[in-house]
Amino acid sequence: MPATRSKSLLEDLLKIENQLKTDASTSYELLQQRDRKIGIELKHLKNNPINQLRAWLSLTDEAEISHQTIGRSNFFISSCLVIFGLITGTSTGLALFFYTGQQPINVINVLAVGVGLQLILLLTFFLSTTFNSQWLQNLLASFNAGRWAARLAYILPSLKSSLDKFFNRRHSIADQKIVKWQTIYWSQQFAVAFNLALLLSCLYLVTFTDLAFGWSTTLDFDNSFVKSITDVLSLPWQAVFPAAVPDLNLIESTRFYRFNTISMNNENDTLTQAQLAGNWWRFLLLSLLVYGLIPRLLTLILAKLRLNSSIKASIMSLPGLHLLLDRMNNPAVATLAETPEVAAAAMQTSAEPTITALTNRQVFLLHWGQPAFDQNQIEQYISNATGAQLSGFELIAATNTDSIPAASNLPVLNQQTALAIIVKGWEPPTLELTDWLTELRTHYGPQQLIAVVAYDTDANQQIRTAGKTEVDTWHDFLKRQKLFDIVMHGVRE
Amino acid sequence: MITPAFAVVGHPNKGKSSLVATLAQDDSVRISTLPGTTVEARTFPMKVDGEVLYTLIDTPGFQRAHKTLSWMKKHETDIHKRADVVRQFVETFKDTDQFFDECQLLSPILAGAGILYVVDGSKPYGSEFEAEMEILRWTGQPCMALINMIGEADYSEQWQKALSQFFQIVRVFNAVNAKFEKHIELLRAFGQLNEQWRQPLEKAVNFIHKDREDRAEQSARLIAETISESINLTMTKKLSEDDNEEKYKPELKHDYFQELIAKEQRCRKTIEKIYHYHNIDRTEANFKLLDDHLFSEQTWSIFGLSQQELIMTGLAGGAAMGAVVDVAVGGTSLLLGAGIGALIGGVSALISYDKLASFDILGMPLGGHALQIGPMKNRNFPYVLLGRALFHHQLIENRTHAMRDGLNIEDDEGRTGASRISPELRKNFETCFSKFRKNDADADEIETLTKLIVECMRG
Ligand SMILES: Nc1nc2c(ncn2[C@@H]2O[C@H](COP(=O)(O)OP(=O)(O)OP(=O)(O)O)[C@@H](O)[C@H]2O)c(=O)[nH]1
Ligand SMILES: [Mg+2]
Repeated sequence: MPATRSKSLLEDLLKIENQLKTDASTSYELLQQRDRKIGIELKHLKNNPINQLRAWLSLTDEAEISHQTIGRSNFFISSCLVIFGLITGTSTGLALFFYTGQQPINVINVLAVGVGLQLILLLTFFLSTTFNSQWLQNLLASFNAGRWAARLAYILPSLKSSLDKFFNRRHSIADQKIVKWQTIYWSQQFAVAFNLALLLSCLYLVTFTDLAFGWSTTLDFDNSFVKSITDVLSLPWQAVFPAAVPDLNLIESTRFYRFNTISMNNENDTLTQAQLAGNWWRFLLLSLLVYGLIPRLLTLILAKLRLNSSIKASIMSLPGLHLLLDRMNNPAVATLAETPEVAAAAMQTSAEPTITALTNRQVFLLHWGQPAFDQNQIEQYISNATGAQLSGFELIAATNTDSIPAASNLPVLNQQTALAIIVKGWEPPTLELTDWLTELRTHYGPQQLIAVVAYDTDANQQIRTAGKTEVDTWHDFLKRQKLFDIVMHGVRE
Repeated sequence: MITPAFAVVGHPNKGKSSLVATLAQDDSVRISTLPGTTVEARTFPMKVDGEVLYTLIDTPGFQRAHKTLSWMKKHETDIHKRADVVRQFVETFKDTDQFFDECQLLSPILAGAGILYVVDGSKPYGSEFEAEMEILRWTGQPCMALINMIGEADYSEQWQKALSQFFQIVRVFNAVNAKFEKHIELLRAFGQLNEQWRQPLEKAVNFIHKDREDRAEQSARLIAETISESINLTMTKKLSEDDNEEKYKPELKHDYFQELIAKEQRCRKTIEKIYHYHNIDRTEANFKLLDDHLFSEQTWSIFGLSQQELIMTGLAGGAAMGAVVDVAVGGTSLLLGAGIGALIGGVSALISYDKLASFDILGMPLGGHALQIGPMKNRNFPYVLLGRALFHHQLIENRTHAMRDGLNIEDDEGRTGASRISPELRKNFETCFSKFRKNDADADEIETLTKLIVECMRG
């Protein structure tokens, strides 16, 4: 099993993408070797491609260094947002629950910020996640703390390039979703931090200070209306915490007006009133928890899930990814040679065939190998092609060891005569022929004219002059075998 | 399991290396019109996950067959000890120059390899070949003769008669032009040489078959990915407040079209890699056809759909009238461009870019504006890409690794490219493409397109 695996899926996406790009210029055979080896090791993950790919990544580890930065930028942005959320949450808490002793804390304020505003923001969250309209997205973008933070991070040169890369990845639709859900995820981090801090500061003040709550509004609310609101809000916990549901009595007795305090309502009962006023706290804490923190935790989880699934979708649609999976999970079939090939010597010459050499000479014919045509046809061809006078010699066919005539059995030649070795142009010359030609040369001495004449067969199986390729081949062969003084004859245009 | 080996032997220049290159799918093998190209025996193990199922051995041709045979005859004692004489021969001469080639080719046979004797059936048989065949017979190894047809003439009948005197099995096999199915058949036939070889060869053949199918599918997926990427390709240039976008347009256009061309190139390269081709000669006639500029009028008329076909496809796919108008404007006949040639350089008759992709100004995720070109809205464009890709794949698939020059693909009824796709199938393509155009496609859509392309490839 791979020892190290980066924790961030996003980072892995970028790393896999990068590795695939590098691989594009590597030979298929090498990739197959590498990936199949890993694939066998990771066979247990075959049905879980994402995990298999992440494990594969940690085993290939070529591009380890790069892309760390997107993780850093991510961490930076998240930290900023969490810190900022904690600070604003705490200060909002302190401001809302600011109690001078003069006037009770206004429950309406707390509800407006802790519940009303939260519900509005939640609404924008759902709008931005469900509707794709560009116009709406742009409008809502201004509410998105994640975008603001990303813009802020953009100012830092060290993060700019990685963010640039991240925001400009637009390979598949999944990539656009990644950007969307990443920014949403960031803003949910802020929101959770904010709500947590708000709740904690509220809890802190309730625990360590003596607070009085009341409610006050310029609007024409009567007690029963307020009661119905608080009843609706308390619905979620009504059954579990009946003590956290404000009763009519509490509502009636804690209403206050700008110019008088609760205690002035009924001077005789200050203590009870104060206790009553304190009773709001259960309701408020639960409201902050149920309408602020919990929904945000849920949206945070949702955003994370959607973010991860779009990253996974993006991984799965990376170009070359399926090739990689195939290489890992299909048996590696290799048929190539394992070693490079030794090169033969290159062709040295082109043919310079002589036509005149045999003209009007008396020529003795020897055929190398079994003739492809009968003797008459060959003799006819030779005399036409070379202008030689063929002496009455037999066509000797060197077809097996015993029939290769020893030089000593050959006719005596002189200056006016020549020896012509007839070859089938298409049959490549072999060393066996070299041996024989060398022997002939030794036997007759350097002055004797010895020629090689090639013929060919055409598609209708008729005899014809050998073509250029064959003649070149023969000519090259004679030179290579250092038989320079043996003339090559015949070429077909 | 036993691992069969096969030594490909014969006279020089008869296509031994061509046979090996084709069967081993290795285009690094040296093949040439010159005899003596192969100078040493070379092994080509067929491996599945490292396990060798069989081995092919390319060898140099016989050079001194008659002398070899007469040495052997001189040393012969008993007919059943002939293999020992061959062994003795190799022992004696393996370090000498005189019989280097013979030793190279006989050694693997003495080590147990089956014999694949290659001759050229387009040239007349000659009795001088008997020495070679006799030597091979002396080894006592299972043997098969393959009649390779290098030229036009046909002497295979004479060869057949002569070869059957010496060999268990005689087959005609075209080393350079044989279709893949023939390779498979031939490999199976190797199994007939020896009962024990049958099973490993059968196993190997199944893997090779499956591997081939996988490659076609991988190529189809690559083509699908490339088409989807090309349709969706956009390029943006960030604008600052007081920028005039006009000044960026020419450069952006240029880059955009270059990128489309590059995508196509990369796709082809990868497909060639998948099929183990490294040294394709780009000057071959068919490749030249593909070399034509992606945006040349000729390309579009050869590989894309005709205007009429486009309209038919659009209607069949249930497109609205608007689409028809779009086609009429974007169809091939009206696409003769002006002034674009200079941009790409030297290519005449390029079709009008402006009809193909348009500019847009859009907001960036983090604010600011950018000039964007693309995506490609033209309805014929994906068909042009598809037609070219299918043609290229066909070239590659029908090639063998022994080919060193072109291969001709006949048009079926003079139609190439996307026009060959049946109207039925085209309808399904259109559904896919329109999703791509709406930027509404995901991995599933690529999957669908891949399947469609595989269907086209299978014909
Ligand atoms: N048209 C055609 N040409 C072929 C075929 N087989 C071989 N050739 C050609 O014949 C020539 C020789 O082929 P090679 O494969 O190099 O022959 P070889 O037997 O390995 O030759 P050496 O290594 O020199 O002994 C090359 O030019 C090939 O292109 C075939 O089936 N068809
Ligand atoms: Mg060869």
